[in-house]
Amino acid sequence: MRARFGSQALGPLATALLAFVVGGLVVLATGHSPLATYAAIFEGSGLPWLEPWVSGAQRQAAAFNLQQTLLLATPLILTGLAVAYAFRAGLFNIGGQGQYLVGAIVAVWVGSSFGGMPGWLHASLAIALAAAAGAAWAAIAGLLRATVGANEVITTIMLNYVALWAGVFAFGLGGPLHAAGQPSVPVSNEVVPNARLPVFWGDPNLQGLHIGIFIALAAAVAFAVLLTRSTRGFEARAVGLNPEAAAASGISVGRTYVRVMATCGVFAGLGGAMDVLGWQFHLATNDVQTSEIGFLGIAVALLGRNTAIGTCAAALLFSTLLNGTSVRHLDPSVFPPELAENLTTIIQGLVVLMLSAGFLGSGMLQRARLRLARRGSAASAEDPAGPSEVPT
Amino acid sequence: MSRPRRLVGVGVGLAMLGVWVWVTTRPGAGDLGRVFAWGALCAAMLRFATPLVFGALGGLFSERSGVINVGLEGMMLMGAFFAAYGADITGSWVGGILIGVLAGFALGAVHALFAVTLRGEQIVSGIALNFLALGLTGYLYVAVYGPQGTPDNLPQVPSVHLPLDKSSFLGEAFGQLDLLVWGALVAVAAVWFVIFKTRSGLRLRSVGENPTAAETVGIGVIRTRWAAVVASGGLAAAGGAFLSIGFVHSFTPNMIAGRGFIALATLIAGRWKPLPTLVIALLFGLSSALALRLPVLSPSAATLFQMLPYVVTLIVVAGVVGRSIPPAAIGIPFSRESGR
Repeated sequence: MRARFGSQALGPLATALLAFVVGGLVVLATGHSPLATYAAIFEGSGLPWLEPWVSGAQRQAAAFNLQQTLLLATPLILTGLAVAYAFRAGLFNIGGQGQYLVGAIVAVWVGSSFGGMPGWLHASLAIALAAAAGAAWAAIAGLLRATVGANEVITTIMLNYVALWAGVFAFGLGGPLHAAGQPSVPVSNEVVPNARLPVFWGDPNLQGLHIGIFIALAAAVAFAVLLTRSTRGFEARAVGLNPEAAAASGISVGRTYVRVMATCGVFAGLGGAMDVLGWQFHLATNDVQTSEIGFLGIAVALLGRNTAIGTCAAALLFSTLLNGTSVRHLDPSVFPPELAENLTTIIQGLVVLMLSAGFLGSGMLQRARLRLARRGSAASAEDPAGPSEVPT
Repeated sequence: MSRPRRLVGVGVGLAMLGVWVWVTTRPGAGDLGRVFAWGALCAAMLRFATPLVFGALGGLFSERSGVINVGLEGMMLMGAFFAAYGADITGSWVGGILIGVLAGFALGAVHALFAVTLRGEQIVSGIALNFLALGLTGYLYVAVYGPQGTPDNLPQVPSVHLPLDKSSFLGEAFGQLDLLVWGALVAVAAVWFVIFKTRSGLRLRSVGENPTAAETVGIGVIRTRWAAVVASGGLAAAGGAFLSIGFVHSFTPNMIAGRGFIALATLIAGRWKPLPTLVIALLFGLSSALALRLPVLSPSAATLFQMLPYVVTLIVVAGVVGRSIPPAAIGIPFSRESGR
């Protein structure tokens, strides 16, 4: 098992490395030093905090940067899981963005109303309702697929935009969730202090790290357990592998589609709730329109090979890159952040592109191992699905 | 599909429309004549539909040959940037379109390399193209133009002036359309002809339906798919070029803003056929045009009207189109050795 995980992780890692090399060439082509740039991105991401020799003010700055990186990783893990779970059932959920937004909208609504409630209850209620809203939103696509066979790619894309404009309407001037105290700013009310998620690392007034990262990691564990240890997960995988065969063995394919999409919506909706209750506390129409967390989740899931551990690792990589290249964290004297943000997108694209062909990835490795195995012993070659039995 | 199931879909669609109508019309309706200057509405419909038509036709080429193309967004973005850049450096809109389309070809070739030659996962490489194009065009935009943005005197695709009475419906609707709007309509006819009436079109379709059979009668599957995917990039890029140097006369990062995905939806809802695809694109264009005009009726719901194109597409897909059956071999990489 351990050996198998190692070989599976090697491909994506090598791919990411190669993408960084190509990205470095892009930096070089525009007349900057790739090494200095990557060092500055590393600095900006807060990863130097992990180096024990960093101390004093530097250490504090690194801690703050790392908090921001993990803050970003939280929703990326969740929207990544939302895409990955659908992929495992043979569905392509492009709707993570809409499900995330619906969750965020509901979280901001619940979090900024019902003032008198105890904090833990208020936060839990906001989280639960946000997850439920995400589930309901995603289930529309599942239901349409199950009943009339409408392609989920279309329906989830459309639902993304409906959610986006619903948010713009809700928080816009005169909208139902528009803050009454700010007549000229299209923004929602603030989440009451009671309902905010506790900060366990850093200054709560300076966007410290809230406990949402643990909720995201718990969701990843739930993802793995659900998929590999539950009947529902088994049904989802069976439908993903072969819907006809699954139907023939008595699994209701339609019902599975609805359940799978609803589960995806829970993950993405949680992501929205984490951001709103953890550090944003309000949503402006602009936030709704510029958010890309759900779309990034697609790349996170793909890089993570649709597994729980992979999705978490990919979310960490992407949040490191995004945060390290953000205007706030990258030293502009080394490399202009406006360029670096795009460099991040290019690197993401290259990583996903090379993964598509199993370039340096598990596909190529497995083929090589298979060849080795055929040469070595006939017995192990009969089982191409079990690379763990192949001598390395 | 059974009748009751389709009725459920229609019901869901109608329920959504009902909710939408209820929410948007609560503040009370005004007079429709002010809103619906029919000729102008028709012209706006065509303008909004044009990038989708190009994008969807691009997707049609690729997917009919058996290669899923979720990278239309990126291909359109390449077209949009390089058309603006090309128009800027060559000083002519023709140069802009040419360079934009070439950039689309290039991104199409990347897709073909990974999805056809390397037999990668087609959805994955398509998504990758979107990121690549977003990063590349954003990077070049900042590096070349910086905070000033594209120049104001960017050469523009000219409009076609028809000798029609400007105040009549026909004059308002068709008298002053951008050349590329007509280009899109011509492209629909041309693509229909190429795909369904020519030998190469038949080959392309056969490769998408049954590549093994096609290969046994001597049709090069790999070569055909390469051609289709590269052509796909060029067509989609033309849609992007229309947006940057035909419609808004500038380039801004990420200006395709999801239209590539909507084009993909248009293609699927149009069941991979040129004419139905055009109809869906026009429907989307009409609801986009309406969304901009309806706020006259109820300014407070202005943003809600923006939902209209998406809600309409949902209803059409759910209630009317239903299950659309893709080309049989779509998404399956072809290898000559294994014959599939």
